[in-house]
Amino acid sequence: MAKGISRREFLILAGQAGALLAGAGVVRSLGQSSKATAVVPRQRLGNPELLAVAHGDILGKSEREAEALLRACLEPLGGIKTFVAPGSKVVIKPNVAFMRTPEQASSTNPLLVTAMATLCLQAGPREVVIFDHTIDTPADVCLSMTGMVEAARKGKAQLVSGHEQSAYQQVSIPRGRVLTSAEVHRVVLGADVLINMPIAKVHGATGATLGMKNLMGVVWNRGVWHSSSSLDQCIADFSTAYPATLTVIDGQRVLLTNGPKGPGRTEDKHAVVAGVDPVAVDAYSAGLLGFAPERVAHIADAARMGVGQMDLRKVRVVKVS
Amino acid sequence: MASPAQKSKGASETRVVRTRRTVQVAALVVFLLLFAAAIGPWRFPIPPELFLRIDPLVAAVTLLSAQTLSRSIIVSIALFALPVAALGLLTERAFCGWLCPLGTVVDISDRLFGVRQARRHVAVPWLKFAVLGAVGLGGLAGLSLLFLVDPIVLLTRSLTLGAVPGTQAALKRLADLPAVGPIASLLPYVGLPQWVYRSSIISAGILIGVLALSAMGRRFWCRNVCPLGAMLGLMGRAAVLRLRIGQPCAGCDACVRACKMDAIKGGEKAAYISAECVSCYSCVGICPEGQISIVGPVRHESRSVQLNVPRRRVLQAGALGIGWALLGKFDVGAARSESGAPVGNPYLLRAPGAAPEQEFLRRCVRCAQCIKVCPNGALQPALAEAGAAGFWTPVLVPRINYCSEPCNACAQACPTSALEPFEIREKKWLFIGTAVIDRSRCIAWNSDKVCLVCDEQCSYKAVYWQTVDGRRRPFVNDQVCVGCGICENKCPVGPEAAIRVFNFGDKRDWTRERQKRFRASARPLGEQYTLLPIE
Repeated sequence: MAKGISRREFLILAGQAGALLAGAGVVRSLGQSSKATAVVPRQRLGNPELLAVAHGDILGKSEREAEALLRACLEPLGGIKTFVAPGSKVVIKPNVAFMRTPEQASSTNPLLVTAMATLCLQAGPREVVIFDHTIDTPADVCLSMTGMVEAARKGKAQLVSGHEQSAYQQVSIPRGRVLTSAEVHRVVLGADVLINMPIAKVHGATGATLGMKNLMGVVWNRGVWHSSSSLDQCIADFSTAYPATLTVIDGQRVLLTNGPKGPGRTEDKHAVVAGVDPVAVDAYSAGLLGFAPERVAHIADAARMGVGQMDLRKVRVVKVS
Repeated sequence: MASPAQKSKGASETRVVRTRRTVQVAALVVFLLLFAAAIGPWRFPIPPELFLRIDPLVAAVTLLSAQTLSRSIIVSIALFALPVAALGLLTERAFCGWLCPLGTVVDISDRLFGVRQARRHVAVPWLKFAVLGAVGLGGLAGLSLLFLVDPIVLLTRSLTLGAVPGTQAALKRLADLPAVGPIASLLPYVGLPQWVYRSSIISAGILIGVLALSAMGRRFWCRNVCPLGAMLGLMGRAAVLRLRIGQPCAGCDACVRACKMDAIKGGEKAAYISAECVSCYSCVGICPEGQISIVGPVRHESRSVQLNVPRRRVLQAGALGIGWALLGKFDVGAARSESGAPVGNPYLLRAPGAAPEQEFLRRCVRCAQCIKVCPNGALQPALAEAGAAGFWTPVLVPRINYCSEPCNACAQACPTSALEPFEIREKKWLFIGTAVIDRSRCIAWNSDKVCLVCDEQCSYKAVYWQTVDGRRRPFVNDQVCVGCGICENKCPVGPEAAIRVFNFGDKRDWTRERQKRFRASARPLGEQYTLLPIE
């Protein structure tokens, strides 16, 4: 029988290959530190004392109408160009945690997500990414059921699903009272602009889920927030370190029972709320669900920590329609 | 140095052998493609579990072991297994020689072992009939022993448990690389949770063991062990297409050496054993006298000898099979409640649509096809928790993952209807189990924390909250809970969840209609709560 390779040659070759792989591993591990790194604060843009509320029915309408409503809503805040600079990296974070259809109002209206991606692209960014770490698995099914796959395609944005732990990085939360560190997805950490786009829903544990609560979806381990001494405080803590650049609440159709997953009773409010101050946006939007802001503990906690303004009398609300 | 057992190549390779080889490779490729495509509830015109459904032994033993025959079993057998059984009547063991994916894999492994194998040639051809006896009589006694020895079952399960997790992990790594990433990402494997299976090393080991048998002669498994081969061999006695070894025969034994199945008796008057012939036709072109040919129904002067099937061995093995089946019933781990659920394990959960436990155990062939298709990787092979008779049957392990709401993949994939197929809308009332909150361990009950993850996650709104002592506490509406396990999976209390799915009550004993009525009569409970409609 013809011999291709001797045992000795094979062992030497295997050893070389192993050494090469090990070396590559070392080089790779040098690049990424496993320790918690301090968060580089994202640039704050826009006027935090302004809140824009747009009214207009886009349910069952087209992306064009959604875009018009969103543009009108952002106008008082200075338009999308205030936030998205040419060449910047934009991440849009909708709430698409559960396997529900858009009509069930458990996930952000895909028309609004497409409209936001389209608006952002008009400002000439480097890239626009739609990101969520879905709770229901398989993530692919969840993303297509909620209409996000189509929304990303129509908005010419990249869709990133955060279902691999390796893509998360431990970051410290210096001002956190309960939550002192969290694993945040690298796509979100690397964004110049984070646009938080939740839908307004009632929530068993926190009363309401709005902007700050939605950012739980950029961390890997959410269970530790729930089992900590205070889930509400964790949400507030996270917002001290990593607030969104801009929060836009989908109040077109809100979920009033069986939240946050639903399906439950919904009500069509035809509203979109936008603002820079995450606390003020949430405080206003809690009203869409029939909550006084101080009744939602994490809003009150965040206000107490100075993240933003909960007292709506001290915020200028501009209504457009 | 050429060993005498090595087949001489080139000149002797007739067209029929080349065709057969092409068919073999094509069948293996089809098997592997269907296997790879079997994920989630997505179906093609061809069912991904095709080879399990066409396996006539799976069909036959299921007919013996199942107590009740559902419509889905009968339809599947009539549609898929009967045609292949008919092929067995037409052409001896052509299934083994042309179509069986394990047979082809063994052929490949035989080639890899090359010259080495002939040195210790082992032939115990009666063994496979004994195995068939054990499987058949064990089946009559109510246990499908097929899971150990059916070639398609063995291959499907070994690949699922042994090869799929590693392949998926590798694909996920590939998807991270810049060059091939975008292409790899298109594969559904990449976007799914990483699957991990218990006992995967045992399953992989068994397949490797079967392949290693090549060291004791070509097609060792098929010649000596395979009960499907034995069954087709017995049926092949009446085959229409046969070999003909004519005269004059020079007694050169070239055909004997060419035959990988030891099916030709050499010497001056060569003859072949029809129960062993896999119709590979390697012998046809090799005879220097040109005396070996394939004959049709008209010319019946073919010379074949009957294999002496040792009845005593078959009966002995059959007794072992019955013994095993009975031991399974009296096994301590399998002590059962009135409904058939094991008393020893209140957490034993089956996939949705599973037949009542006793019937389930009679039908399940442990092919792991349901485990393969589960996109969440929530189904696992049972080790000891289902009793000795339940080894390798599928169990839902919520702590690993839960049963996803818009999915009915496992029940569609089951070739023997141990899991009865259902529509996704029926999932609201098909009971897997019922979640129970352990208030002494639940942090919303014992430490006043705002948790309610179970309430948040519940897809069917069976978990709800009520204010008790000024705090929101979770409750379970047992008429709504189907036991999908999402609450147990997401519960932040560890290592064991504070909400766990029990099989007690065992509502899957009920007819589907009764399960639906029970679900439909549920009352809405709790604050901020709307009961979901049943339809």
